[in-house]
Amino acid sequence: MRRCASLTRRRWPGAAILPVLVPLFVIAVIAIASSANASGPAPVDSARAADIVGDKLVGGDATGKCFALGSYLLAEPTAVDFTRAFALGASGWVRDGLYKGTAEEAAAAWKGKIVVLETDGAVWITAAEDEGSHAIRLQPFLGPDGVTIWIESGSSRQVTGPEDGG
Amino acid sequence: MRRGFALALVVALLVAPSHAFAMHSVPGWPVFWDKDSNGIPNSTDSVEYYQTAGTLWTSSKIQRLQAAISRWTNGTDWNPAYSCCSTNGVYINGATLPACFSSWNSASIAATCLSFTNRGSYGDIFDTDISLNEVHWNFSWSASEPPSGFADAQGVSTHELGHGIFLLDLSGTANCPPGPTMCGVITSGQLPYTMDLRTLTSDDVSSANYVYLP
Repeated sequence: MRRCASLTRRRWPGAAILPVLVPLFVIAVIAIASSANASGPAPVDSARAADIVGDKLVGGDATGKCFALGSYLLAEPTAVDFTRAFALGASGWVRDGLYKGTAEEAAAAWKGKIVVLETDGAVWITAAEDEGSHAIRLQPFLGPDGVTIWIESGSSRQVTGPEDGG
Repeated sequence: MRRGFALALVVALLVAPSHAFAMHSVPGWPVFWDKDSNGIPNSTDSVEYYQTAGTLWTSSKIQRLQAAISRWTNGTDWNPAYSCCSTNGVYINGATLPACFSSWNSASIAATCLSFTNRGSYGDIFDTDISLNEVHWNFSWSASEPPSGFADAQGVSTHELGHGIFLLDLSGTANCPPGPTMCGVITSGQLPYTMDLRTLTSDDVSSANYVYLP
């Protein structure tokens, strides 16, 4: 017991310089972080597409292949849409292009399965029959009654070449 | 003293900007226009064209499009330029659906179809088609604020041009509108506020410069 007490009282040889080292360490960490930030613009959310498409949807063995990436500027579901969705009870189509349900149910409604989940809740699904050559992005909208409505907000499709790219 | 050191470490990590670390968690996949297919982003590759064929085009529409294009040209590493009637490039035509889509529905105000070749380490863009959904929505091509019930064509075009270099739609009340040009969700009551999309924010600029190789 006395030995332990003795050990706790013993000063570590480097303890004398710790008051200097700690502030230096803090400054160094901040400097490294700042320098990383200064090396290039930090990616913000709208820069995600290149990463998602490049790494998850068409990367790897798809080198040399052509793709068409679709993006839709969406109109948010209206209060009437959410009222209809709530009245539906079960999952299902609220109207053309709007689906009420979970992410998995929405993916199934578009005949696909989830392959990418984005930070804002949007999901990319692949159409099962296309074996990955066709993916669709679904954007969720949470209503006041806790109902979630999904709308297609993008797509990625393999095309044979520049001539049929659009 | 150890407790003090641990506390200092925690403080240091909290003080450091979190996005500085996020940079390294995003692999990145640069994109650029590679018209000569040499795998090198030359200055001429940054030039983008749109097609104005057809009879729907008026001088006021072209002026609005030129204004939308100039926002990206003057503000980012991406330098699209106006060139009439190219057969390969951006064109905007409300009557035609891009190859990406099968049909319009009222949930979509506008759409962009970006075509590219996967070169492994980067995306080689060769075509971008932009369509405004004039079937279900009204667009104002005026330089001034749109009337109620009309979307601002210049603002929406500026937004759609961002998709031309892989930028993704943003959602959420913090983003839409007013907010970044890449705000991707509009309510019916906010249609005139799409005029806010004409102006690139720092988020739009840093996203474009992060993704696009000049």
